[in-house]
Amino acid sequence: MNLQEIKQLIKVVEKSDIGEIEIEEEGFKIRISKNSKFVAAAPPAPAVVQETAPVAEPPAAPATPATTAAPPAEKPEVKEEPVLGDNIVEVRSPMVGTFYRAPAPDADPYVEVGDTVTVGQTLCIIEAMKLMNEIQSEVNGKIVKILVENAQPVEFDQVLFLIEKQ
Amino acid sequence: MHLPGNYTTFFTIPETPLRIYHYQRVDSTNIRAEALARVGEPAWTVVWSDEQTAGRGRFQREWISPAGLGLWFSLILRPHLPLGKWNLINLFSALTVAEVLDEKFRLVGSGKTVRVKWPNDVYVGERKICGILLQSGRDAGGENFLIVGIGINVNQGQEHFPGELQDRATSLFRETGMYWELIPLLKEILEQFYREYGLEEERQFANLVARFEQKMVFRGEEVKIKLPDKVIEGKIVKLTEDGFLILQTDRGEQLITAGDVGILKEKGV
Repeated sequence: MNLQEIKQLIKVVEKSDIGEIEIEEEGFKIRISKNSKFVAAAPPAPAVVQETAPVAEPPAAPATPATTAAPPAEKPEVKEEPVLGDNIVEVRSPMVGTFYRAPAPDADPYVEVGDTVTVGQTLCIIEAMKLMNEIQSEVNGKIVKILVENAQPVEFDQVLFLIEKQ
Repeated sequence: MHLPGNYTTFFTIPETPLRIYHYQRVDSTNIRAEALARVGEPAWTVVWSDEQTAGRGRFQREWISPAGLGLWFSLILRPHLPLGKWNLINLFSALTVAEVLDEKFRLVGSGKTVRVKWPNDVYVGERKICGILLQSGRDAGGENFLIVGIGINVNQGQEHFPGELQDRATSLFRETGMYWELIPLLKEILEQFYREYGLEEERQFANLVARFEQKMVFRGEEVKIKLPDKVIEGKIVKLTEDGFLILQTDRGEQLITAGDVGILKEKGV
């Protein structure tokens, strides 16, 4: 699926009643979600375009590793930041890496949906090579959504959590 | 300056900002260094312990750190780099330790070469001699810090390693047949780390990836990599400029940001 097709797809979803669509074909997966729960009364816009395909495009394509395959250019349809409620804060990944919800495989997650968090509290770890990066909350609030599954790759600037400020 | 309790000695390394707190026994030098960094301890403070009772590697795996037989230490850094580039310090740390150990091997004419395994292990042949674990966090003042935890097997004989590690771990003693004094070795590694780090930071770690690749095991070889949820096989193509691994698999090229790299043989990951 090329950029043009993705853009078309976004438009189709935008005009439809579909809240979220996920398409998978030969090692490529795309999910488009309107995420309408957090879209204000403003016109509906696709809020999150996420590409989680772990495998590269066919060999003929440039040797760009696939997990970087969702360049910012694919988001121009969403000119402005998704309109979130005034008190909803996004926590984004400051780096490329692997997302972990707990400090060890058998440990409890740092946070769950519904938990109250305070400034500086650790929310997750992003592992980049063998560097374990703690990601902390910038605000006091409540976790309303966790957008990434444990042990999944994340991109730079990908939204990880939504927190309702208190 | 915040003074940590219970340390045995404290020393500095002249003409560097390096300050070393030496303990006889701690749970984990990373935990101690992290506690110091959280309350604002500056860069280049080192926590060194003769023994760790709860030394840990990736995902809390145990790192065996018996008293006086190896160097177990953690260094606090506050890199002037975007957070997304801090992972390069994985490569840097492994390379620095490898270069110092290589020099020791040359000194004794052992003819052995120290290699690095992506992202930050140090190997002699097929045995690991040094493991490194980095963790970042934010201190009470909102500043980010990095802890570089380094464990080097120095004077262990074969009998000091548990059975399952005897073929997979080694020490300077096992490779050279000589015992090594810990303090001079520690100082040398820290001094070299400080000196090289300054040079690398000036050029934003631009040459580091190429330097690492030169000393990297398994380049161009078939490997298997243990990811959190699966194991994948492929050939190591090269590293990206950010230091990540590109693996040629039967489904195309794949970017590896974290995982355990092992040889594709019966010994496994």
